[in-house]
Amino acid sequence: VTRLLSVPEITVKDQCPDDDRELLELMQAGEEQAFLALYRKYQPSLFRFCLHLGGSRHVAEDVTQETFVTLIRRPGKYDAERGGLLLYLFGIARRLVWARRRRQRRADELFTSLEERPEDFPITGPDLLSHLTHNEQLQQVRDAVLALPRKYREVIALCTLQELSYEQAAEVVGCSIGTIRSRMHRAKKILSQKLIEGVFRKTVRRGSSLRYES
Amino acid sequence: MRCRECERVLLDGERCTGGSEGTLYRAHAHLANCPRCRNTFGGVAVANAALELLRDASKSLEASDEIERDLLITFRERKELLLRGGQQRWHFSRWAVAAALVIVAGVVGYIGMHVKFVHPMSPTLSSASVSSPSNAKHPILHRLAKKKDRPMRLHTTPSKTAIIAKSVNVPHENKDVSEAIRPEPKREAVASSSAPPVPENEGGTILRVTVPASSLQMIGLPVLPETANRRVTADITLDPYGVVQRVDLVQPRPIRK
Repeated sequence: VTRLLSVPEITVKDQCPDDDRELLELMQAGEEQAFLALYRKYQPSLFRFCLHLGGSRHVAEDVTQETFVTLIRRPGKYDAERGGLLLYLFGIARRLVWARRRRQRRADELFTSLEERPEDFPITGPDLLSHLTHNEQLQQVRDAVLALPRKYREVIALCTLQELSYEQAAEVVGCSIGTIRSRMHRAKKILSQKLIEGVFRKTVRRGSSLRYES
Repeated sequence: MRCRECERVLLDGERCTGGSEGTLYRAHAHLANCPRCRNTFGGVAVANAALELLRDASKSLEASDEIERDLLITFRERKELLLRGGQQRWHFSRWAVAAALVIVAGVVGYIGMHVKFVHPMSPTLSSASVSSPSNAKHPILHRLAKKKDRPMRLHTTPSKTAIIAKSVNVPHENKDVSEAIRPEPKREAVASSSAPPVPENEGGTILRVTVPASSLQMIGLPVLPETANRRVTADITLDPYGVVQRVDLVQPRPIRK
């Protein structure tokens, strides 16, 4: 146990291959560096996806960890022919986020944590006024995205915030490209309506979602 | 640019324009000049700008280093577990064997409780002692004796415990069988005065006979004259040389209504 807990230093060798399949094979063979390379390659995108979907840094970190634990335990489940490893990880994370949401059903934990943690989205502006303005706008956009229904939010998170193509998003969500496209259009319309209306009044709805009333 | 093309550019963004700034610029110019598009898709342009803002703001976000450390520990634990793969398989097979044993024991127990194999000619049955408490009134023996009305020869070694017959209640679910093995009534044993005592662990024979009471006088039993004509059932114990050692009188069964 002592040996396991004493993680001296984590460095990724430069000669690690970039190909995901090779990295996975090395990881299955017990190569730590291969696992670390995969983790460092995909962790930021996965974490941001979970953050946009779940709305909380705590949830995002937990889900990111669970997703990679799943990859460690069952690496053979990934089929390279069906898509990239990132899409596979997005699929796992998506299910984990929604499962966690169903289990917890506590909107305060999920959404107020964003307000309590402005450092989640660091503001980098030239002066304080621009910081505040930028922060306010950002908060408004974040709230609007989190107020979207689940199917629209995940499409926005995948296609716009993670910049995936419609085909890749369809692979993750498990539906057709046309469905993704229509959801995307609908999500943008709802989002624009919410943003144009400007003033939102939060009321916590029963369950874990938020209701915004103008 | 037409309104439909403007809609596509605004909704699909870079996917439609292919990253071309000129197409996006023309779409925005059309949006500014076309009141219909401005009413319909003005909000979409706002949404695109807002999402772009959010995307840029969250670009630098990453999970904490503790996650990486925890995952690395998990990875090492998993690696060690895989190295001990043989033990793991053994654990699995041991559980499988244990489960199989439990199933087999359950099946055997069920069969033992609910199924009774009886064969009239089985050696176990033929060697059963009539006066033994456990199978003194076995259904097959009893029926054979009743049907043929002749003494049955049982190849058993009579012991003192076997000679002292006891009636034992043996519950049984089958109605016919329970009737047949109903406990035998108490009876009296009369030792033959002329015969030497039966040595232990010696061979012998028990005969169940149904004869007139008068015939018992031939073997030395006192019989009242008024009951001489009645038929009585008795177990006669013979030594290996055919000498009568003991006579057990079996009381007749009470007649059931």
